[in-house]
Amino acid sequence: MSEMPGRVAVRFVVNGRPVEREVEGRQSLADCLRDGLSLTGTHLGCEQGVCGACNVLVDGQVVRSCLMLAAQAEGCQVTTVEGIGEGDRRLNPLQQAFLDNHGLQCGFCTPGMLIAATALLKENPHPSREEVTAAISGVVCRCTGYTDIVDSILAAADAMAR
Amino acid sequence: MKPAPFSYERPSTEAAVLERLAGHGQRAKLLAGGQSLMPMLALRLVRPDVVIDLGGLPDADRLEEHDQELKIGPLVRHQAVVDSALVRSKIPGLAQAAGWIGHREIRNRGTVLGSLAHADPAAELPALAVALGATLVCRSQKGERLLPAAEFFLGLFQTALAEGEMLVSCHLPLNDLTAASVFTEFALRDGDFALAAVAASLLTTADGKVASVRCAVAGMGPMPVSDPSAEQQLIGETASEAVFTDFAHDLLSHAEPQDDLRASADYRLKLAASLIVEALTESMAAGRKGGNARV
Repeated sequence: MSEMPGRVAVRFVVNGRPVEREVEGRQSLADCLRDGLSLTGTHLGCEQGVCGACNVLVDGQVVRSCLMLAAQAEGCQVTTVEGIGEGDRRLNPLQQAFLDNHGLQCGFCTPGMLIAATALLKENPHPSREEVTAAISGVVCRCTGYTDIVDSILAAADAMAR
Repeated sequence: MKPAPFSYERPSTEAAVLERLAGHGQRAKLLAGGQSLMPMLALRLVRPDVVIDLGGLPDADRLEEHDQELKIGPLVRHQAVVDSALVRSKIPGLAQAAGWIGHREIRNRGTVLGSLAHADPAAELPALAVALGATLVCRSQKGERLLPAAEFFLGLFQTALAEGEMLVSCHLPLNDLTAASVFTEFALRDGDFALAAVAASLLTTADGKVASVRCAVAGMGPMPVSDPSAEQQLIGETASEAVFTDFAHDLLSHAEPQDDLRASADYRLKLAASLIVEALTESMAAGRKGGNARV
């Protein structure tokens, strides 16, 4: 790729795989993941930090990938929703709990919810209902009314404790 | 919903940042956590030619105690403040204020200094900085200025930062008064901007008189509202809900709340008054519990 003004070389690790890209300075991490790396599990709703559908883990911390430049991911470990399963396309206990408890309807917010819940359960394996509600408060769901999502995350915490 | 094109620079020293800032002038924007700048870029409310990322600065995430001050570096994120044992024990109002900011996703990226430099009228940290007497260190190629927070905030998204200047540190005093600090607010939903927010600190003497007090409110005008002369008048009064209410009334006489879809100006005033009384009462109790009362 020719060196265009504003292009930046960036190296980071996505779901355990090292990647090297040349990106426009203005490109968000979300666009880089979706358009550059074809990781379309990360959804883009509002592109201004409100909806949470684009949540990913950066160095283990939940962040909005639309509020981060791809260039800012230099040297970071990024985990998208594609990276939280158990390999061989098997669902992990959190994903299974969403399936079992009807934790999704249209599915648009689901990647954001799964990532927020992954971060929560790593930090706090036995959250209260209120803690779950707070942890997903940054992700907007227009279908479920949230109850089944909270139930799913609590069920996942139970399943993972067993 | 995509930013206009810009050049991205990531200097690896503060000197290089200041050099580029001097060279680009107002065509450049500094990027720290990006939780305010990125939405503004996406909405094209700002269209800088150059974005200078502070992410490459070494040790910029330092949060440390030095000479009875808490020193906050340019990349200290809100969540680091929330989680800091030092902050929670010595200046709890700061940890509480940071915990009210946005959602966890935002706190994981957003920075304390970024929030101060952005100077959103509804933001928590500018009010806290004013209430607790923070000193803001502004540096450029020409030198360094130390500004009290009360002189740093000039209006809606306006600060005293001059062209070519960068906010490099925030110093907060660590003393009995800040050890009793409290931050509280009310927002319609978790993570929303506050309808009103209050930073307060109050110490009483053994016989229940106000020994010292600081207070500022956010969301009640273009910048944090405080009233040093009302604070002076409160000193020596016997602490009670009634005198706190009078103090809130005096302080809020400087407020300029706005009507909007979420709340009327009148409601915000009543809310702020109630939050001020609550925060002062809570701080007084914290000060007594910590044995911090000064005679």
